Amino acid sequence: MMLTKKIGSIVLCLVLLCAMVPVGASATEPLKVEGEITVWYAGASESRVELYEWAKAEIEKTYPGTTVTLEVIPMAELASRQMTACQSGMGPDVMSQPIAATNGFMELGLLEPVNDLMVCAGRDLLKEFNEDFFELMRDGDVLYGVPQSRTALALVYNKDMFEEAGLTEPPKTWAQVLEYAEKLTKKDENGNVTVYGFGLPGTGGSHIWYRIIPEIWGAGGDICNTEMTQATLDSEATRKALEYYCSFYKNGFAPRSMLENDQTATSQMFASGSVAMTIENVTWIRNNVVEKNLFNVGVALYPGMDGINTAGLGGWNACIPASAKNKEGAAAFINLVTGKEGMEQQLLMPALAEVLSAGDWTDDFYGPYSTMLAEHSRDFPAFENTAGAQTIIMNMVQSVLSDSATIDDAIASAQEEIQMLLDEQNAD
Amino acid sequence: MYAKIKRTLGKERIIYYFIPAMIILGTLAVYPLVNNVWLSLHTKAGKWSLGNFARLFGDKWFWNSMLTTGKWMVLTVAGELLVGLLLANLINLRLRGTKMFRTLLMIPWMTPMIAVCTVWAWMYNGDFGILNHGINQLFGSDILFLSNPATAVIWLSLVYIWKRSSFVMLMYLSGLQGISMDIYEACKIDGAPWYTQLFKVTLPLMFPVIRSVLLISIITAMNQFTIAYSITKGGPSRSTELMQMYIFNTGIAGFQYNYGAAASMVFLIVVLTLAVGYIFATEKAEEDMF
Repeated sequence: MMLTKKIGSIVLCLVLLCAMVPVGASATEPLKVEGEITVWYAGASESRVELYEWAKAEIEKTYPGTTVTLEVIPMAELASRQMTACQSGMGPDVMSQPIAATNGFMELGLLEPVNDLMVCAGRDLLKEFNEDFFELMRDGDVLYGVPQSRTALALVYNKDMFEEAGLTEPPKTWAQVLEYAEKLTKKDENGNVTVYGFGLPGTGGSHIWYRIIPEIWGAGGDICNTEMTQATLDSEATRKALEYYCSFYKNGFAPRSMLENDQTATSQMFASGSVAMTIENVTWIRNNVVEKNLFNVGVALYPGMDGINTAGLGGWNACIPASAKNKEGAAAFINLVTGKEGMEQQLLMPALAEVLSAGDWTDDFYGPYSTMLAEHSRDFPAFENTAGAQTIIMNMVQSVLSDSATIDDAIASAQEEIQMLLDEQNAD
Repeated sequence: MYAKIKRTLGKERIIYYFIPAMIILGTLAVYPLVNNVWLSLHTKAGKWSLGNFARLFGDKWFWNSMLTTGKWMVLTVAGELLVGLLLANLINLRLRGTKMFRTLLMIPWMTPMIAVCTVWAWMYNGDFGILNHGINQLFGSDILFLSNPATAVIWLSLVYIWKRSSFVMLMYLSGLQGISMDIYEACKIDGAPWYTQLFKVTLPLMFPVIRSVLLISIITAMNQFTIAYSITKGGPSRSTELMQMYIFNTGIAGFQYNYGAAASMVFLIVVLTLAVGYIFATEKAEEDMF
């Protein structure tokens, strides 16, 4: 009898233990935050620096004994330094990186999945963010980064010049952009242009990329197929987009220094009143025109061939290297900079849907940017060698601008090179 | 035998002081080189392959960069030589104000390269550039300096020549000042005109200096990166994409480390071949001269 009771008790305990295990596994344990957390980021803007300093102070206050080391890496070397560090296992705990870079890191197995870590931080990433933002940093259900900010370009214009030219609303199609550009271009008595109607970059791989690929999309084409096995650049859509892009320079509506100007130089001309319209992101315009009260700036949705273009997404992700020594601390830091309070300190558009759909982000200035981000944006194709793809596209545009190739030859050459990039990528 | 070794080691004692530095420098120089060779002969996955070199030699932009670098080298080395020699001869005349002039001439060399590139980029700018405005107004032309693929490399080389000539001038000046004035006095007595003195006396006696400076100029020119990267970013249409920029764009910015390593190995071989060939050719010429 006693033996039976004993056996019965043991069996009951075992059953209870087995029942508790799944319960214990699904219970979210809070993050264990201690030790040192190293963060690498590009201090590209003052607000970014302030945000990270704030997060550092919060972590150190909330978790005494924890230290956060912030390291600012110059933008130009950020991706290469992060890549080298991750591959050698000497990376930081948190990496802030442009979204174009994250896919490459993920494909090389250099990033830590963040699902479980962010659940422990009390987050539900797919509910809080636009699911499209994870397109290039997920493998099935496994997520490899947290969106920190997202941007989508929009048309910006000088409202005062529009008024002078008798233009009451911004252009909505290519035809209108060309028509407006002609009306807004002004010359002096010697025939020298004093104001150019429309400014676009003629150099700077990423700058041209962000402004020609949406035109190709808008015309119904793309750079490659969805599976990224076949280049599709050689199409009527690309021809039309390239012709449109170069027509401003050919007709004298874009600066004659276009081949020398990246978007920063073009935007500087916009800010100085030498260019009436351009395609630019929210940060630059706010910092350099709006806050300095230079003139009335209008913002409009990005005009495409027959309607609104789909803009390519830009922005930043917060990721944890697979080699990070303090992954839980990293998750706690990322939780702060990508949470509501952190997002409200963003200068670039906040990626968090809740923040984006409220307050200032819906006004006359931010509204079009928010709309582009929420409704008219998509990721660029995830090239392993994005810099190479951007150089190919830049060369395609420059060949036509400088008359060193016809449109057909430029496109054919770019098609061949993009196909080679895809073949190399798929061979790996 | 032991005594002989002991004597030899005792004699060479002075070299022992160099061994630590040689070890450190050797490690810093040799290890990256060996690693580079290894990277160039392997794929990303770590498998042995000559594929990087096959791809390299089949890449038209690699050959474009080689050709551009060749053009760049000829333009800049010739330009530095001519301008440097001219300035050195002017300074050597020892006219009034020479010291101040020599100091002013050093300003381009002392100015950081990135600052030089920024200013020259604006000077060349098609809309606001002072050079563009000045020259086009003066001659009624319509030059867009950095927008023409055929000529952009020429205008970039001017920037480099402007920056480097003063340094080259100093080297040539030291060579000139090493020539005894008695020789020129003798030439004057013999009635030799200035061009005879230049070509028959000055240049031959300066040959060792010119030879060394030219070699440094060739190697430095071929390794140039900053000017093209800062001013034109290799454009327009990759007409100013020098070899170092090609290696950076593919190997570093493009994360194609193995491919970039292959490109840099080939470039190293080209530069070494050029340098060694130059040394042998000029050694013979110098022997024949003297």
